[in-house]
Amino acid sequence: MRFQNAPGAPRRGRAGRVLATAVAAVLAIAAGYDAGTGGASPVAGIARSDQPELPAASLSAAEKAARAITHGKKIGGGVDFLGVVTGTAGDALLAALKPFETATGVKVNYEATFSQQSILQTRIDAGNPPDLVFSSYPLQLVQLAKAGKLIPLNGVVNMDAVRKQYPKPLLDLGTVKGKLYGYFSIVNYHALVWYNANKYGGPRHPTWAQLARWTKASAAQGKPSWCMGIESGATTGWPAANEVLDALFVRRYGPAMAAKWEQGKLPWSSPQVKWAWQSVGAIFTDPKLVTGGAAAVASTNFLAAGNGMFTSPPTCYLLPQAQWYGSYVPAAVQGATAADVGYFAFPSITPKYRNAQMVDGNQVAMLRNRPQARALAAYMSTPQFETLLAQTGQFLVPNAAVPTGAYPTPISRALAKELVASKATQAATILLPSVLFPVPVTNQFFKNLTSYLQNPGQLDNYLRDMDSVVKSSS
Amino acid sequence: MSRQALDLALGTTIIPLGVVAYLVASEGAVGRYRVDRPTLRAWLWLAPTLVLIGGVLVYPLLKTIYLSVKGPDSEKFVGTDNYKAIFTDPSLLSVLKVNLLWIVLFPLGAVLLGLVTAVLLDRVRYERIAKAIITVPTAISFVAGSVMWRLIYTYNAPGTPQIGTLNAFLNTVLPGFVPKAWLIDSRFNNYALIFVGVWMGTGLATLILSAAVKAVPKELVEAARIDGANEWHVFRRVMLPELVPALAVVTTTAVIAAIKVFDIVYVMTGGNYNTDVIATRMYSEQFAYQNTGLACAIAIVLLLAATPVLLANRGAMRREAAA
Repeated sequence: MRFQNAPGAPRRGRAGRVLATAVAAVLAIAAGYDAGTGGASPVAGIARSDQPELPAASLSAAEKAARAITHGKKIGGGVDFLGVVTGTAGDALLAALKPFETATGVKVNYEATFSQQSILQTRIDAGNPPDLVFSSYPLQLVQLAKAGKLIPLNGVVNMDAVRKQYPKPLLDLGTVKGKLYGYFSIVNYHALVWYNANKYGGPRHPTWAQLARWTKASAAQGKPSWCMGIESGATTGWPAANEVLDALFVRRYGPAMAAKWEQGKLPWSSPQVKWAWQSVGAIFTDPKLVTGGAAAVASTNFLAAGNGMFTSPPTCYLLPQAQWYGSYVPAAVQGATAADVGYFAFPSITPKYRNAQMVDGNQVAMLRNRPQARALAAYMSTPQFETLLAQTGQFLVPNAAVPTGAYPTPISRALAKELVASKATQAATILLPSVLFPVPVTNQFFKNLTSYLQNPGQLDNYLRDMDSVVKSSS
Repeated sequence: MSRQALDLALGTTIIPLGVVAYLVASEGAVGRYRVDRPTLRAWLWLAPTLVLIGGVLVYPLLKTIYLSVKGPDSEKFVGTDNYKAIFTDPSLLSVLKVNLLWIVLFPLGAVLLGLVTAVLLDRVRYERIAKAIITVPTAISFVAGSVMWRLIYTYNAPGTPQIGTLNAFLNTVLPGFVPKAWLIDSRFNNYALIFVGVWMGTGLATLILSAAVKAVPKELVEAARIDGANEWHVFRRVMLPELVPALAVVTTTAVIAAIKVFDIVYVMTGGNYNTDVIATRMYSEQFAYQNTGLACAIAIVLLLAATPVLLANRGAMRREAAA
């Protein structure tokens, strides 16, 4: 574990370092990815700790956009805003909201919590909902919209611009009976495979079959190809579930079948789902294919999972992980620079599903029809606000009007160009299956997949158990 | 931040002032009316505590019992289904089994080690320093201690550098040692966790038992020695009987700690790999699986399991105080 290398960690001799390590470890546990919260990078708080400096020109452009929304009026007052983005990423979000406060005089009372879903429900039940929510639970928003708890955003945001600038599949996820109730303002791209550009000698844009041939050949030479670490406190298991199993399933069976699986219409004990589990198990329990075999996979923290790619000699070559990993490596992995980092999209299995781009993220939705809330909901949909978010270096934003040049690092510019600005990818954007299962199912998924990697012989039991959780939570 | 400071200031002034004002006012009231004063006064003085206990203990307890006979979303009445599940569902039974292991091994380890150190340290000059060292882990929070031990137990694949202290040490001293995944291999991970508990619990046991050892009358020990008893006999026949009340207190306290252990398991394994205990399962049923009914039933079972030990503990404390 290399937490102590995070910039900003106090360096006060040995005791200081030990303390920093312990604190970082606790942070990693705390940050450890509340099931399905997704949203911004779970490590943002560790990877960077400096307050983002935003370009003055962008800040004044954002102020201008905010003034246009309120027709130049300082409406004042406050707006209650409930989100999950916290730590350094939370600071970045607040920095991008600052021009809105300056221009409109509205104070944004932002509250971040890892148990957003239950807190939102509790506050609604108590008749005290926040004005706005920055939600990581698209399913919950749809349910709330159907129950009449959300205010439609048509007429609040500039619908023409929003339709033009945001990917249609993402808008559809927040649309109920033709009305828009939520739009994604931050997205996190999954189904990527990372490598060390100086050490990895395999195919750069392989199909799954090509990659399997290469990893097999590498195994025959005694070099395991895959890196993996799934340890993440109470949500241990998510890296194998989100970044590998979900990706395998979607690449082979496509979004429509994934939707059946998410909705409980395709059982976990079906041959399709079972194939995905077996494929994950075949790699991550075999020490010839993954460094250290199942025990190392289970005991390695997800943050340290790819460190072996940057040691000399490397102990592994490929790490499936979401987009945040690209900016995490130069900031936190010893001996790695931005130039070392390379990636390719998760390999294609069934050709027509090769572009399906899996994301999760944060949706803006409105619960109270107050002028301050309307103004903020409108502001957060503007390209000026989204540009500021991009410039913080903490997020990828789905707004196509944001120039890719806004991103501060080459890797984030490349990701934005390929994933956000490309029309083909935009049209094929889908949500990560793990985000669309009911919360108990997702949590049991992580837990059972973790157990399965230790006891591969019990697969049928674990899948039957999943089916019973689906049944009891529907 | 300023809001929190304000809350803190209000909390530290208004609550004590309010209680004092209430007591003054009630004393005034008692003086004014001709009633059975001792009884009335007692109730008036008890009232703030009763309100507090009622609000934070009795009401939540009743509500928990009520919720434990309901389904996951607290709407449907399910009778004793949740309780039946605890004692029939295989995954919950394994949780009970792991907790039983804790209940047996944790007190055994902590009390035995505590007793041995207390008795042996009584005989050396550097007792104070040694005792201070042994009690240091007691001062560490369970979460911080667990994070430390996670680093000690860290596993790296054989053939790669061992970052975990324990594997690195064994690797150095034992040629041909294969690194062990201490927290993952279910053959020994529960023992690894219990050891962390013992490491943190021994200090307190040592402190209490050491005080009891000091209280054993010196004349008694000397008399036994003069009568020809060897050291073992002195310990077994003279000291141990005197230590029984203290041992009872320490053991029951340790058993209660073992019944409700949470932090070590939650931080170190998250309940994975067959290490789930009752308290971690209660937590995950509520917060990960959103099954409020089952979580509440587990809470009640936990309470019922701890209550007899708690009563024994109280009895032991009284006897120890009397001894």
